[in-house]
Amino acid sequence: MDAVSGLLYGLSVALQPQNLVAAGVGVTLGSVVGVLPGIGPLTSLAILLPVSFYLDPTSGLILMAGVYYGAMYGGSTTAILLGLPGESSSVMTVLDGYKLRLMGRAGPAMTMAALASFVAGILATFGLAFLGVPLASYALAFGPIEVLALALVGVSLVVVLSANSLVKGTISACLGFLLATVGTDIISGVPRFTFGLPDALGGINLVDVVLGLFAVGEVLHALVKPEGDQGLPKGNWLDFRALIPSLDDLRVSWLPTLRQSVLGFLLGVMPGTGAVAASFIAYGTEQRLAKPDRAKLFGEGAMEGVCAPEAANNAAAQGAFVPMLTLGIPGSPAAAVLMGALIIHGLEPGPQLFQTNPDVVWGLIASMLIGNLMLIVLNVPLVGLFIQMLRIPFPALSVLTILLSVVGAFAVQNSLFDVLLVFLFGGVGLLMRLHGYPLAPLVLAMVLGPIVERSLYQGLLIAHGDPIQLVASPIPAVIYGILGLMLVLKLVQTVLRRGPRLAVEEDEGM
Amino acid sequence: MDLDRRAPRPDAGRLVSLGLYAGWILLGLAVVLASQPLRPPAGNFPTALGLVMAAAAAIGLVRELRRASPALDLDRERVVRAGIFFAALWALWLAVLWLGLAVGGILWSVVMLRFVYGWTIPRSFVAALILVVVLVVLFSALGLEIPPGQVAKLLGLAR
Repeated sequence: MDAVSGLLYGLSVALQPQNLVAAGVGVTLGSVVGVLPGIGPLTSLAILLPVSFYLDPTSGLILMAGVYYGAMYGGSTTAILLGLPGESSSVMTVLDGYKLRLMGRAGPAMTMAALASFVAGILATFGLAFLGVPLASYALAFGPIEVLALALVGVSLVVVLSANSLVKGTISACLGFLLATVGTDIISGVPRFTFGLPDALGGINLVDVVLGLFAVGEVLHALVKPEGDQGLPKGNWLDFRALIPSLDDLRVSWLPTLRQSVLGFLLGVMPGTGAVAASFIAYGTEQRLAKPDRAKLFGEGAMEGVCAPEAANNAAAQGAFVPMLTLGIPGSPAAAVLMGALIIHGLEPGPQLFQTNPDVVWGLIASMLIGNLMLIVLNVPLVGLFIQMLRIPFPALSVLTILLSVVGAFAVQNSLFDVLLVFLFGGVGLLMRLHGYPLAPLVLAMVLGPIVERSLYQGLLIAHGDPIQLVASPIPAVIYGILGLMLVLKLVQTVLRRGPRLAVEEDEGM
Repeated sequence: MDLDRRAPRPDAGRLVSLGLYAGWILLGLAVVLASQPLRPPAGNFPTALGLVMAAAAAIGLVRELRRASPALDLDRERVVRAGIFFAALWALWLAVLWLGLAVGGILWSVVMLRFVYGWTIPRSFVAALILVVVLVVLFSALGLEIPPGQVAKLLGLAR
């Protein structure tokens, strides 16, 4: 199936009533989650993961994907209105967005952010459709050695890019891999690290870990380190006229939006880079590319300073689906959770998915077109309603989060063991957050753990036990080469950042 | 390494951070030990992971100790001695399990201590390493197993 017929087929799937409802609920929830600081897309994906069991795979995935990219839209709202990024990918939006609000131009800034996200979302969906097919057919030729290289590089890139400290990132990834080894061994059938508990024979459920780390852990972290009440800005947010941007806003923003949509998508396709990095890079490149008179406005209220990072983070969020759907390698923690949902439904993510379950793949891709349309409708005229969400006190939200986490964990297999694990991982998540351990490598490694172990075993069998063969063939050599380059760049960056004085006083690098 | 040049820092969290690193090391080593009875290939992957985890955490622990020393009132000598003691014990344990890796680990530790941190390698450390290699070769030639506690006593590292 080529991309055009795939998209048309996908639209026929995505337009089915249950899938439309799933997309609508997903993007609405995503917008709400994006607006609320402290409740991230991963928290909501974690809570929704058990819910998706009760839906068919296509609807479940459409719902969860909607939350993910919906949150990218919503994140800009609090960034502009409160100077507080709803999501970490909206940090750069604060710089100019909040300045625009202080200049009385919050409405146009929010509209432009939503429009940039929309354009990026649509372009990225087409990118996903047109890049996915050739990549998937190419990936069919991948054997265990190539898959191993991709999986290892995926985790390593997340470690390199998401952590301030390589040591902490490595520990987090190892912990994720180790959690994946608990239970009956996939190769030999031997029970491992089960402590004689029958409940542990089936392994540790991804749902428990994700709920614990991101939902319970987030709430505990907010209790330990409250961010304080930001308060709502005054203004009539339900007035549609206050939201219309000027022609000048459109003139200065269209090119940066298009440029950063493409760049963001390409960055999203690379496993590990993610929406946060994309938004930072987008802001930096636009500042450099801008004419001198516009460049000096960056940080002082430039409209393109809002559009560029918003376009990039949305495009990157959707770009992360490319490696997940085509190679079975999630490009971000959120994609890892979505991949977990696919696995729970008995589907194997990877190139075969395009052939075995075209309804799921194309339905998901086409639902992004519909979801983005829904988001622009939701986020421009109804932004005032979302702002009201900020009136919900955090204690109420946290109680709800804990409640949903417990119910969600118990619902997986009607076992209290899962609930206990959620609280255990909540504690682990809190400790890791407090001490600067990134959580993304843990989740990604846990999802990729079985793939890595199986590929390593099969790869070594093929190579007759010679580990050199695992890196000697062309594709893995190129993949590991890219990883090596990234590591060198990270080390150079660390050394440059540290400088001679910091080398003595601060050792945060590595 | 000049610890005296570092200003003391508030360290309530640092102690926990140190404890966390120690915990990760113990977890990594525990995984290595628990993987040994598993017949291959079930034990191979966790063994490798446990080792990587313990090694990463050991680096973190050393770095954290360097930063925490003034605030914890640990002088350099005590930190170095404690480090050497644990490194030697760890190297011993690895040597028993996996000679090749232990030698690699030792070499790596020496390079790290000498060239990265600029520490002078104490003679006792070098002596301990030579003793480890000799003992391992001797014990493996005799086909004996070495409980780490006894070896530590043998080396005078524990009582």
